[in-house]
Amino acid sequence: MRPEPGGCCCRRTVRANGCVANGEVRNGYVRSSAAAAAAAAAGQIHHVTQNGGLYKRPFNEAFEETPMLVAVLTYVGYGVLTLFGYLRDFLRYWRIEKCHHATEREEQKDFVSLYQDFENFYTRNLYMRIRDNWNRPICSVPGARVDIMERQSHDYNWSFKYTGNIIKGVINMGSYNYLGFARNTGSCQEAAAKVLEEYGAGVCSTRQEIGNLDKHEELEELVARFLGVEAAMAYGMGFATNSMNIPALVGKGCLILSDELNHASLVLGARLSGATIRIFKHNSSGVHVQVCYIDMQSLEKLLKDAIVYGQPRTRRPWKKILILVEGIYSMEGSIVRLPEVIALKKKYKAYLYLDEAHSIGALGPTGRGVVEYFGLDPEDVDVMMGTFTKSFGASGGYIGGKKELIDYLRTHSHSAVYATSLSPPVVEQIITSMKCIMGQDGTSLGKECVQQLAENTRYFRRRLKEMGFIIYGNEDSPVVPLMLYMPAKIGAFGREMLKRNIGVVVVGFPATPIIESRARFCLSAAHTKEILDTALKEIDEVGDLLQLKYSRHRLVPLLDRPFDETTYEETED
Amino acid sequence: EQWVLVEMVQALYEAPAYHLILEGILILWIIRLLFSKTYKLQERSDLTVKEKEELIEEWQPEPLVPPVPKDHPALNYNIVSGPPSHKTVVNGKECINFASFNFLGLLDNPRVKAAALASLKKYGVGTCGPRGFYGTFDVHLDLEDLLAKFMKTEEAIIYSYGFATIASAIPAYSKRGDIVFVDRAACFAIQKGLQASRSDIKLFKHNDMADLERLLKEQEIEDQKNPRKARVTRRFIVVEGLYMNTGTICPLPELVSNHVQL
Repeated sequence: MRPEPGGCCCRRTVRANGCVANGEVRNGYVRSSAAAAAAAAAGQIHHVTQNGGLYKRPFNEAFEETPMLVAVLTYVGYGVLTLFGYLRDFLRYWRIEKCHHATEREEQKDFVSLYQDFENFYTRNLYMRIRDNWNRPICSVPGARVDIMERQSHDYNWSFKYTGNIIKGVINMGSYNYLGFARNTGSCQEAAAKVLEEYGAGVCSTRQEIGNLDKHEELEELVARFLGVEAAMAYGMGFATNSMNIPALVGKGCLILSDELNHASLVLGARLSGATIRIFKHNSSGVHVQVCYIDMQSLEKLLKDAIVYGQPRTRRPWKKILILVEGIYSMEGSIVRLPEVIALKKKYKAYLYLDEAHSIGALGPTGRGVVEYFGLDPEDVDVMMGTFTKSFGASGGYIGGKKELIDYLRTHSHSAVYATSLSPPVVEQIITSMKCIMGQDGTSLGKECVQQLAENTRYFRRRLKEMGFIIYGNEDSPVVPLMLYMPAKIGAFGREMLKRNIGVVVVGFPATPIIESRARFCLSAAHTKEILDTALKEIDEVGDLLQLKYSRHRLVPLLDRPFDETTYEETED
Repeated sequence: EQWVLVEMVQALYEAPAYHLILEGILILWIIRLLFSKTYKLQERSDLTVKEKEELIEEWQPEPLVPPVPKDHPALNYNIVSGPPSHKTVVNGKECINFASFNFLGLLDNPRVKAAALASLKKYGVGTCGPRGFYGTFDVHLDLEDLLAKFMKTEEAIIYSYGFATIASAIPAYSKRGDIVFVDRAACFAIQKGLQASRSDIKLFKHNDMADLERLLKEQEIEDQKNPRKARVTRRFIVVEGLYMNTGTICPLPELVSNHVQL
C-alpha cells in the first residue's frame, strides 16, 4: 500500500478474497458504506472532520442515541422498582417489616421529621439495594492495582461488616489517576516525606494571616509557568476553589452562562454569587456539516439575547457576562468546544472561566490541558481553574490568569481570608510532580506518562467500540462512560466486575439522567497494555452475560493493528 | 327529517321576543369580532438585525476585576519560612507565634509526624477520588470510629476541608422553607452554608439567650396561626462552641434546656 502523500492516516481492510474493502475512511476508522449511510440516517452521531479554520485537528465526539426498546425496558424497570418501593414502605409503616433507616430519638418524636418520606424514597428503596457498589474501602495506594477490603451485608445493604479479608490486586479503573502519580515510592514521595519532617503536617492558619509559607509562593510561581499565564494562586480544596472564587468575581447585576452539565461546585459558586444564571445546552452543535465550522448555537443565542435585551425587567445592560465551562466533563467524557467558545467570547466581549479539573495533565501533547490540546493561546482564557487532585496525585485547586486578576483574588477571595492554606507535604508533591511533567527534573518520565495515557485512551476506546458497547464522549478523553441504562444492570455490572477482580465505578440517578446510567472507566498512564487487555477481556465477558452490547454501529475491527495507531499498516494492494 | 322552510319561519314567529333580541345581539357581536383588527397587548417594536448588531457593538462590559491599589493591606502576604510552630520565622525575622490555631501544639509533635510519615509510605499523598469512588481508605473509617467514640456519639463523618464541613452540613438538612436561628457572630463558613440552604434565617444577639427566647416565642405564635405549615417546617439552632470572631464560648446548658422545652 502506498502511503498517502500529506501524511494522512489511511487504512483499508482486506477481505478474505484479497480485494480491498471500499468504504469511507475517517480518521482511522473504516466503515462499510451501508453502515455509514445508516449512521448518517440515524443522524445522532455528530462528527467533525478536518475543517480548516477553528479546529487544527479532528474533533470526534459521539453520543449515540438510546435504542427505543432499551429505553422502554428501562422505564419498565424503574416502574417495577417504584411499585415494590411503595409495597415495602407500606410493610415498614405497618411494622410487618423491620425498619432499618434512621429515625428520630424518643425525645424528639414530636419534632418535625428531618427527612420527608418522599424525598428519601429513591434512597431507601432503590439506592439501598445496590449500595455495595459505592464507598468501597481500600487499603493500599490507589495506583493501577488496589487492595479492596471485603465487606458483607446480612440485612440487604443496610449495614456492612468487614470480613477481614482483603481482595488484593484489583485492577483500578475508578480512581482519578490519569498520569499515574498516585505512588508511594519514587521521587515525589521522598520529597514530600522530607518536607513533612521539616514543616510538619499542617499550617493551622489562613493565607492572609500567617499561613503563607515560602513553599506556597514557589508552588504558585511554578503553576503560572506550567500553564503559560502571568500569575496563579493555589487553594486547599478543588471544590471550594470554585464555590469561593466565583462569588468574588461576579455579583448582582452580572450574568453567568453555565453549561447544563456543569459540576456541582460551579453550580454552587454561581448560586452563591447572586448573579443571574442562564443555562446553555451541552456542546450544542448545528447540523452535521463537513466543511464549515459548527457554531455553538445555544450559547450564541443566549449571548445575543443577553446583550440586546439586557437585564430581565429593568432592561439595564449587564455589568459583565461570565461563561462557565469545563475542560472534560467527567460524566460524559466530552471535551468542551474551546475554539468556538473563545471565538464567541471575543465577538461578544464575555469572560471565560474554564474549569480544567479533569483535563489538566490529561490532554495536550505535554499535558498542559485543553488549551494546549486545541493549540490555543492561554491568554484568551480569562480564568483558568483546575485541581491538583486528579493528575498530580495531591489535593487542592488553583486559579491562573492575569496578574490583576490574581491580585484581586489574593485580597478578596473568601478562601484566602477564611480557609486554611495547603498543607506542606501536599505542596511538595504537587511541585515535584509538576516538575516531572514539565521535564525539569531531568528525566523524560513526564513526557512518557502523557504519551502512555494518550495511547491507552485511544486503544481502550477503540476496543470497546469494536466490541459493540455504546461509549459516550470524545475520542481523546481518558474518561470513558459505558452505557448500562437499566437499573438492575448497574448493580450487576459493578458486582460482576468485582468478582473478576476489576474495580469499576457505576453511576446512576441523580448524577446522570434517569435512564442513562453508566459505568465510567478512568484510564491511567499506570495501566500497562496487559492490564488493559485483561480488563477488556472481562468487560467483554460481562457484556455478553448482561447483554450490554447495544450499539448499532459496529466498527469493522482492523486486523493486526499495532499498538501505536499512528503508523501505517501493511496490507496487500 | 327535512328542514322545511315554512316550519322554520313559523318557529321564528313563535319565539319569545327576548330570545330573538339576545340571538341578534350575539350574531352582531360575532360579526364585529370577525372583522375587527387583531390588537397587541403592548406597543412592542421588534428590533431589526442591524439594530441588534449595533447594540452588540456598543455594549462594553466592566473589567473582570476592579484594579487593586498597590498599598492594599492584604495584597502582600507575610512569608513564613520554616515550620509555623511556636517560634517561627516571618519575613526573615524570628517571631513568637501568637497567630496560628495551633492550640495543642501538635504541629511539630514527633509522634504525629512519624504516623504521617508511615501513612505517606503506605498510601502516597493523594486519594485520587471522592469517598464514593474508591477514595475511602481504611484509615478514614478508623478515624470516623475514633471520632465517634471521642465525641460520645453514634457515628461520625469526616471532610477534607474545614471550611466545607459546616458549609455542606447545613444545606444537607435545612432546605427552603425551614427556619434557622443563628447567632450574629457566627463565622463565615456558617454564613455560606446558610446562604446555600435558602432557608429563613433569624439572627439573635451574640450569646444573648433572652433574645433567642423572644425569637422562639414569636415563632410559636406564628406557628399557631398556621399549624399546617408549622407541621412541615423544620427548625434548627446553629451556634459555635468557641466563636472565631469574638473568642467567647456559647452558653450550652441554657441552650439545651431551651431546646428541650420547645
